[in-house]
Amino acid sequence: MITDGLAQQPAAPETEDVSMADYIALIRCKASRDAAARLVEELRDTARGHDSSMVFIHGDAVASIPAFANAAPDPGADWVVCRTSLARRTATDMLPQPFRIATLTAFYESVLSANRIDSLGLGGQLCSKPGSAAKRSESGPLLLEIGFAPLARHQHRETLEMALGAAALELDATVLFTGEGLAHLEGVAARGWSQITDFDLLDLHCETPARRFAPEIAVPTLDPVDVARLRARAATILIL
Amino acid sequence: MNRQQTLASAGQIIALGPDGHLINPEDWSEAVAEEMARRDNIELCRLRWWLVYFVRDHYRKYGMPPLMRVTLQAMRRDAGVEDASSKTLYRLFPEGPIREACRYGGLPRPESCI
Repeated sequence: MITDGLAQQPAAPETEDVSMADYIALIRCKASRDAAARLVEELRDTARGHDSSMVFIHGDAVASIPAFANAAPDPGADWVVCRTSLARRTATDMLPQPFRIATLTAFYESVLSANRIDSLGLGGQLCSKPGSAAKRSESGPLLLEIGFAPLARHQHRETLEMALGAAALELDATVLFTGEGLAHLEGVAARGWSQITDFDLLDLHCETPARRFAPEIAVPTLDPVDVARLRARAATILIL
Repeated sequence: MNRQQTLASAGQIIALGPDGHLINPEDWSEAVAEEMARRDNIELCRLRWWLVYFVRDHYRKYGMPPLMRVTLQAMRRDAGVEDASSKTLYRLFPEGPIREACRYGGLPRPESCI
């Protein structure tokens, strides 16, 4: 649950305004106070090279909002919190300045216009792969990489929702499961992913697994060469 | 919208949450949906029933309601509405087609913001 640090804050504005940010950072993992302070500093440095910036806080990262707030986040950036992620973790919609609430759909609409998108996935892996840091072409494909096994129901659901958000807007997106991320396709919880293949919403692939796993749905396997090709082709890589 | 906290159907008192969704999805029946529609002063026409059952089936199979995109795809293919668009869905349930289909279908309020 979110900490008491939010209890005395005024209600955050909820807007569906699409942020036309030049630079976007997606943060999905919970950060310690020190890690949050470092991240805020890094984001400030990166944002200096861009006309406008947005930080989208999704999933477990919501629990780090007090830590981000304490680290004096750049008020010039648009600090956006996923409405559903917040609602799942707290009954309050009270957030400190400069945070505001918006939907995952609004995030993806912003992605369409951004020139650079960085992502900090659930496993704490920062995406700095070639392609994401380069100038994006508007129609360039999006690669969603999942390499972290869900440790809780929310993590499973919210990772799936990241993919469904791209599907809802009919983005040119592909999902790649790597390493322990293949666990998303195992067990009863995998049924949510099967709607993506049943309705042909996105392409799903998995990297040749290092261990035996039992996916509930059939997902084409890629060898390391094809995985490298997929990454190279992507204009943007989001590490989930 | 101000909704009552209970609903009477076929001699049963059905509990509703503050958002008008059934507290216990097992209480759902077509009669319950009809009673909700009577209160809301709408008719559950063929397309509204199609949407309610499509959302129920999707929820049972995938554990969540369908995307609008998926619903339209199915509506064009299975419900005989070849030119179905989001306007078609919003004409059926102006307050949110998927959310309202969940409510009439006895499902929880969708929790996702997609």
